[in-house]
Amino acid sequence: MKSPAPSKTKKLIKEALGNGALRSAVFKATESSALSRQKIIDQIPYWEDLRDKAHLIKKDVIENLSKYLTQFERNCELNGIAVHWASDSAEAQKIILDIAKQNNVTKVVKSKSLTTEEIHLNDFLKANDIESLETDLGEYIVQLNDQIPSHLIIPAMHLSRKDIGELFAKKLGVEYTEDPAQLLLTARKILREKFLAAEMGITGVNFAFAANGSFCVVENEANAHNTLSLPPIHIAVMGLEKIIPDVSMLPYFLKLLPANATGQKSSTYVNFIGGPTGSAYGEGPEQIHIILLDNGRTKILKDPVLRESLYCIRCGACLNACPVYQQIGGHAYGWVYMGPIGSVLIPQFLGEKEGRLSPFLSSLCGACTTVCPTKINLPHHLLTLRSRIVDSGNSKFIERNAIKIWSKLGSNAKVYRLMSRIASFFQSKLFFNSPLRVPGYNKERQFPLIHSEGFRARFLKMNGDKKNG
Amino acid sequence: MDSRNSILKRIQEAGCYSADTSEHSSTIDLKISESIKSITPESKKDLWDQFKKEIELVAGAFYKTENINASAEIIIKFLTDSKISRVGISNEEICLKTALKIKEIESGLKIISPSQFDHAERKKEYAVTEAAVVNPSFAVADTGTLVFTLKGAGTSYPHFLCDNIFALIDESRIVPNQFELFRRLRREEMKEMFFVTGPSRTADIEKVLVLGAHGPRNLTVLMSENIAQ
Amino acid sequence: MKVSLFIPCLTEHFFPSSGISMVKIFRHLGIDAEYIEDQTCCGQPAFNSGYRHEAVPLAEKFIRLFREKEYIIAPSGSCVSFVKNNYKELNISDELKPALKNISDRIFEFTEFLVDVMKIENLGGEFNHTVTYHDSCHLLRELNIHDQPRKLIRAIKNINFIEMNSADTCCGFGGTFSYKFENVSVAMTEQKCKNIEASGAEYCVGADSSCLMNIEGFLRKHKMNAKTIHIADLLAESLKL
Ligand code: SF4
Repeated sequence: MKSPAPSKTKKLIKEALGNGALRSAVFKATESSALSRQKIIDQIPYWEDLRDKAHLIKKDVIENLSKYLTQFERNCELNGIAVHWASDSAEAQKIILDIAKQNNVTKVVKSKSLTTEEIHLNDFLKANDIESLETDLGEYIVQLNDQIPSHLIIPAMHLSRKDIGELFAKKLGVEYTEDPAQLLLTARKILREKFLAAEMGITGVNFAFAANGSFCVVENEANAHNTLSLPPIHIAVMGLEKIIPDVSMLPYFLKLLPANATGQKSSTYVNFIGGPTGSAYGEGPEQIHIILLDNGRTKILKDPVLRESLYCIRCGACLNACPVYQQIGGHAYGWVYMGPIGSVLIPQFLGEKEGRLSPFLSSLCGACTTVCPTKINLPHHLLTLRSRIVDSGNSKFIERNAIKIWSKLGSNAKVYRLMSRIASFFQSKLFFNSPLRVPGYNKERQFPLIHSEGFRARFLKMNGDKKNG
Repeated sequence: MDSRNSILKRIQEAGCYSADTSEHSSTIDLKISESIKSITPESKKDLWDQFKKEIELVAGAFYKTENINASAEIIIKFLTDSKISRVGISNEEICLKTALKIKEIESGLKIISPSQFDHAERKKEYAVTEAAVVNPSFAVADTGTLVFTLKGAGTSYPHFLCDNIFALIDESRIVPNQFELFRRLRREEMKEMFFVTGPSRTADIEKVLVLGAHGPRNLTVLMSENIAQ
Repeated sequence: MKVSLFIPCLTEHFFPSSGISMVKIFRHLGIDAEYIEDQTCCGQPAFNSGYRHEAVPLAEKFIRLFREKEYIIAPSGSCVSFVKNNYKELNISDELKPALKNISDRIFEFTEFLVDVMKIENLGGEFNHTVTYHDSCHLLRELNIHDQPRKLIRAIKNINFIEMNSADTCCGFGGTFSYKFENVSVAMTEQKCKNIEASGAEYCVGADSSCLMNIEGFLRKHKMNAKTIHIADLLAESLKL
């Protein structure tokens, strides 16, 4: 489950659908998230305006990215924050390792960051003999379970309390319990020690502010604050798109994000970081580094329409709203980004070949785009990507030819009707007028009967009757 | 070419345009601010009522007290009930004042203040202290949020490492929402601050809400009309 | 008044009666309904599967046939939405491009046409059964059709209309999705059918043949009690047309 495998999505889906516990856990969690989201939104009469506003802010940022990034860089440096640029995972990994080595770091605590999942940071640090521990409860659980998160916001959504109880008993040697409060207590105790002993804290970034060279991390558990305030070194990893022009624009996002992510009016903590040892008592890390990660984002930028996928603030609402995600959970998508936004990002990040199935894993119902806080037109992008995949020769040979033939024949009404008559003939002769068996469709669903007399024939008859009568 | 320049070059080559979204944006701003106005209480009292309602929804507690003495009594009751003997304070004068008041009555109490220790020691001391008295700069009514600026607090250890937080705040420090908050904050303050809305929490296991994740379990706001007196 | 019928593939071959019901209702209302015999498929299956070039000849044919029509009405929201919203994504010949706007302004889904254009909410008629309504995705989210069919249903005498849980959640069809990811699609359909059953409705009413085909297929295969009915059929039946 570690390396990207969106091309194996069919196999992963089969596994997921066969796992009843997973399905019911995911279904319940997504439903309750969607409900609590709605409750908050009902109290914000200007919700739709907020979405419009957030869309415009992100648009401005993405269309003027180099301006904002260089401004951010300059202001960070004035604040004493070291800025690093990384073109891909390998570069980001190397930057982090170098900082760790220079400072003899062996123990790292991390707070939830999808960007660091994207660069497989935990595995990399482990391979370099550096302990890297996730501290968000959900992330801690999936790390213990040797998995990656299955949801952008609720990493262990796919696990039941029973699964987690067994996992803790097995891996941590504690007594089995399935009481969430007890399980939390176990993790809290272990992690409290780790926070105090860690030599480096690694976090993601929710929003970075170009105009004053600072950034913020939003959370509920206080683990992110501990990660960025207790160890002497703080590294924050951010995708290039995480920037917004100014901190004063944050209130829009701080309404949208918590409502969509966790059904809260406000997240419990918003931490603003604007330089090392900021407090009166020299508290806080002595070094703060920020890594601006490309890793394919500038490639996405190339398409004037698809670049909208960079407006994503990773709120997870499109996952909760997605009836496909609700059935299969996050791991079935085969990558760190899942659900509708995952299906849009996968072929763009990993290429049309590896991602050839992802944009098709959607019924195009559009529920995602109605909840997206930055109004990303996800189904539209899925359609665009589908055609890209076809154009790049990554669709199936049979399908390609079937559709070509359909399109040719369908342009001619006579032939079109003839086809239907042939099908109806088959149905009557081979299936004795019972529904056709259509492989790939009718395992659980009866295929409808083809009428030997279609609409056209009936209409003409009806009209004839009228005229004659 | 180093990564910085190659990234910037790729961005340039992507052919983005300078979209001017400002006009459309200000129309929306107007709509938002009108909508906010229509749902925002006018009086301080109503704002505090809203704050109280919101903070209670996120499992925080709220009391309006007469003065420091009354606040101190509430804290003392909590400390004796839970057999807590150490109180950490943050940098603001009012925290120390209140702590001393508490000590007057409960002489066995140990006060942990940030100036007593160096950085490394302080971490450890606060980590074993179960209660803290802190002083937010603002309270945000529509979300029940407390705003702490690091320049004022001098430390964030009491706020995060202690389990039971008492936040003392003056009645004048209420703002209706974050939009107003950012108008009131100074630019420098915005760089280093943190917002707190309720005790730390998680719902990572089957969406069951549990308080006291990696931070405080309890948050009590003590608001008084002229806190300095 | 004259309307031109746009009969999508599924209606033509599998559910001709819904098309006929629609015609009967138009006649009942004194609306002249014409049918262009040369019409075929609008191209949606090709487009949605990523074959944009292959969708072009079908779209061009459609535009040629319908370019001059005053009202184009279909008993299927998804095809309407496709023509209305996605033809502009296609590389159609320049000569036909100017006709696009006219077409997208004048194409309507059946219930949308009745309620929004004709301002008819009550057709009369009577139906002595309990029904629920499934919101087809493209009707709901691309054409904003939510109240129109409900108004028409509620106006029927003796009908017992109940909302099911998650009426607006996709039934799992999604065109080629239903065979590309058959197992996911079926899981979604199962959830939808459970909701229909739990509502206690005898009929699930819909305004899009593809969803109805999908839901009906599952209900029958699993021998569940509820049936599906196209809203045009429901209205025609209540009016005993
Ligand atoms: S695409 Fe939109 S809804 Fe989905 S995670 Fe990103 S911001 Fe949230």
